[in-house]
Amino acid sequence: MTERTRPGLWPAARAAVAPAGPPVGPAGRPGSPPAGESTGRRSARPRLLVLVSQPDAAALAALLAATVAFGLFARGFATIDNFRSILISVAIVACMALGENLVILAGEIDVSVGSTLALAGFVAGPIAVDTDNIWLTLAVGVGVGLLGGLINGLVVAYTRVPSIVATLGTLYAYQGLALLWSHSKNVVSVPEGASVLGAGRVHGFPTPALVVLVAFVLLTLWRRNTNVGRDLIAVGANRQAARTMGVRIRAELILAFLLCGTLAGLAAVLYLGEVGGIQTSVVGTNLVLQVIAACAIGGTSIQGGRGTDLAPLIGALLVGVITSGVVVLGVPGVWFPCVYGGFILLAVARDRLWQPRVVS
Amino acid sequence: MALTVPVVLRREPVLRAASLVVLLGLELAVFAAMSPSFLTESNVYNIATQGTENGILALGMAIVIASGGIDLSVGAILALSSIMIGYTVGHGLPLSVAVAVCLLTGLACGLVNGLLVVLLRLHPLLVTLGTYAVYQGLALGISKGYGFSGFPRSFEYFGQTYIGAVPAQCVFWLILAVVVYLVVRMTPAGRRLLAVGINEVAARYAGVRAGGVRLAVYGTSGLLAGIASLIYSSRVFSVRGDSGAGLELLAIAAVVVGGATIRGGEISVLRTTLAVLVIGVIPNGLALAGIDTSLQFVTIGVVMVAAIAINELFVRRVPAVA
Amino acid sequence: MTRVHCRQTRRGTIAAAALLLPVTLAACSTGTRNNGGSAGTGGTPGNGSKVIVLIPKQTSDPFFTNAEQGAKEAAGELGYTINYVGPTTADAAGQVTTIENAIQTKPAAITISANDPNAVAPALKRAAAAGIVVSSYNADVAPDARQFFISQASDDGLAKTIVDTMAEQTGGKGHFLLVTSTSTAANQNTWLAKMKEYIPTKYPDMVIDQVVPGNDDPATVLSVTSSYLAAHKSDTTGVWVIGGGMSAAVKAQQRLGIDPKKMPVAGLCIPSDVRVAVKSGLIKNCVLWSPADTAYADVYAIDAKIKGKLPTGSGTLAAGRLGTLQVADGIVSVGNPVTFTADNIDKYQF
Repeated sequence: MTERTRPGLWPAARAAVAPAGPPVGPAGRPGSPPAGESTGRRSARPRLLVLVSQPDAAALAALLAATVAFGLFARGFATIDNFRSILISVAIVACMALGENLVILAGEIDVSVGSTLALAGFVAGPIAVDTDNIWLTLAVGVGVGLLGGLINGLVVAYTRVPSIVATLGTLYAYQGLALLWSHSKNVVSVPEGASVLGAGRVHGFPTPALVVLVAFVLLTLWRRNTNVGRDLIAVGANRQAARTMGVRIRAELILAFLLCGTLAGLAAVLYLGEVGGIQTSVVGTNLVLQVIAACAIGGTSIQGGRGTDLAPLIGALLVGVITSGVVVLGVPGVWFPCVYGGFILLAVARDRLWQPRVVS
Repeated sequence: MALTVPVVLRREPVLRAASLVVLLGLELAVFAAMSPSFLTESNVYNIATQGTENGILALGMAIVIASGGIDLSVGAILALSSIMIGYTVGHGLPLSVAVAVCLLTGLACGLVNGLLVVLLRLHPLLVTLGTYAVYQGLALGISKGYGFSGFPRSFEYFGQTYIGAVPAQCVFWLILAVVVYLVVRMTPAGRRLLAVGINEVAARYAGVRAGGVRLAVYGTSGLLAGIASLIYSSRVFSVRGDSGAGLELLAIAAVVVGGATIRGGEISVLRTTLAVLVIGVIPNGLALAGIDTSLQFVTIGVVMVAAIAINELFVRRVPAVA
Repeated sequence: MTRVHCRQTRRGTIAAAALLLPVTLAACSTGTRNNGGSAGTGGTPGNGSKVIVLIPKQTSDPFFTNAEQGAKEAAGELGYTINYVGPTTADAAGQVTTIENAIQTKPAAITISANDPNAVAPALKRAAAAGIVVSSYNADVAPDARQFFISQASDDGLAKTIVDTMAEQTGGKGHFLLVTSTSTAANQNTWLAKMKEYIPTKYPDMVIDQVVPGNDDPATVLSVTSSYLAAHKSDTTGVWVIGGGMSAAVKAQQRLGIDPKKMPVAGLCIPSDVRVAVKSGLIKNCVLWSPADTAYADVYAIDAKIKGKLPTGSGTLAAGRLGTLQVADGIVSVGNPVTFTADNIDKYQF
């Protein structure tokens, strides 16, 4: 089946790849597929509303509730300065989460994103310090991430190795490569020019957050308006049906991992700008868990096939709001992981409300 | 990837175990060539004692994965259980009570995981992600960031003594491995475990209470993590809130390198244990040869993928009925 | 079904036997292995080897790569080689493994900056029993697990200097945020405790409003400092950073439009991290010590110990370019902490 015949098949294919039974919304009504996912015909709804859909609504509500609660109870939380600093600190996780979201939607998982960020950071870092050129830094960082994602995608698509295992292997491999490349030296003092993506402001709005928003818009447009983009969710929802309908599974998988890696590389460039360098201790952090948590909290189903691009952003913001709120409230530092974990559990439990009981 | 299920009645288990043995032998040969101190008796003990905790965690992980789930919180359960030993001893209670508290903590943590997965029907990856952070947080919070080391000499028993000429913890590991093997292969409980892992729907129709199986599985994983924490804390004779970091990934790696599929339905105690050794000798061999620590990670990653690829050659996969 | 079951059982027996094989081999061999005992006993110190194993908290930390250079300098003068090895993350278990692996290679000495003073003790005692000289530097271990400790600066002295440098920039009063490294780092907790003891005695108007872990991660330091300062911009007088990432705290201030000269950042720092900030006056001064000097002294002390020249009670040690150092009860004092300012920071390249 060629690309040219696909558009006509799409509505039929979509029906075929829907998960068992009609999707159940939070109110328990069977309804049309969540508005955030493409139906192949021009929707009458205005674009902005279509960006926000049923699965996102619950996460958004939680975000608003948390913000309001902290604003009321934590003195000093609800300031422009604080919101700006939250945006800056979640930009990195949000950027990676956008990519991880694609992989999860396709029914796989990528646990190597943290190591990819480290590798990209250590390769692009010295270049940033030496040349002070943001474009070169960006090209190198994104390039390394792309390569890393490509390798992941090829392994998952062409071997029978499950993605969690393959990316576990690349997690270790990229981590080691990052440490080797760095010669045990941290990258420090990234100059102004090369930091602009991570450290600047556009009319008062932090640049890294802007970069993430741009990436989000591009991704949503791609997923909504191209066949390749729309097919991605089919790969996760019901792979057998998607294959039957002619979706090129391998290509989709490779693309998903490739984008995930690319976004991790972009996040590395943001990191270099934001933090002004990168330390070898980064490889030991649980960045990947934060990224997966952001996707899950935002509403993307970990089993694949359900979720939107907005979900990781909401999830990342929610985690950022909680982290900031906890600091401002004065909770002793030792209890942070507990709060964070309790939050993931709550979010995941909430997730269960709109997910139909999967029997097999 | 076509939907397939691994065939349960496989004809090649010996071959797959053999491939691991060959891989291990290869590693031993290479490392022995790189360093004269590698194949010494004391280094073999070294490898064995270092591998015990990972080995016990891998047993638990193998059981969980066989049931079709996953447990990311075992490292944190280890940390929390060890903190509880310190807490108990620190409050003047006898060591036997502390040991009981430790095992109970592990069991309780595991059961909480199980309850969240079963009662709320939440995905184990996310549940254990959350509980990982919660247990880690509890460990840090209860200890307030401080370590504890005021243990009586008798605490050395678990991690620093010998039974005959063999380190005690290796004997415990062996006993646990044999017990798990026997339960899985020879009891109805073991068959129920595999049934749930292979096809939960079919198992339910056959009368297996999947919820009960899962509860038992996660509880066992937690209990084994508690045992591992006992050995670890005894070996270093102190406890800290941040121990156990990264151990869950190593356990998963061991199970997977051992040839079990991550989707569940198969378990091999022998292959998992061999895999623990295959992975465990790498850092030791490289360290003795004076090779950079960062290269260890790369080697582990490469060996993992290679071992899994070899495993995949042997598995006969039958297409599932569409 | 039954036949297959039997076959599987037979295979299982073979498997169990295979598992038992290495264990039986080990059991059949004889051999003693010393366990426990205090670090003072052991055979001829040094084992005749010329290798010193230098274990950092974390191999990639520039602080410790600097220590490695100092050690290599002294080793070159005395005829030893340094084997710099350790975990890639600041992990106590990783250090235990490193020690146990190092014992196999029978070096002359093992010296360590411990992530946890007690976790590494049993392994160190085994090393000492194998005739290896055991010492610690920078972060001490349980005293009965090492033969001596190289102290660059006492915890008391360090805590006082950290407090004093901030006090002189803020007139000795105000409200402060304190950013540490990780919740569990032993020396962090010690310094924190000593700071809390010292402040009320000399500066009763200085108050630590909040303590937040920065996890030695600049991104975390940036984020928690930003959050805190965004909320408490007007009533914070200064920010102490006693873990890694001081430059990130300054960055956080700048992003919020706070002038670091008006809200001083002080504490412990690594020159490579803060060089730019110190030279441009954003940080007036900050404190550390020279890890290279510490390690240099360490190698000299090890050499003295092997030759039997290290005093066991009080005495002195001749330490090459560092001159004569005081030794008391197993602690070799190298000197005082260094306060880095714009004038001297270029002398320190780590």
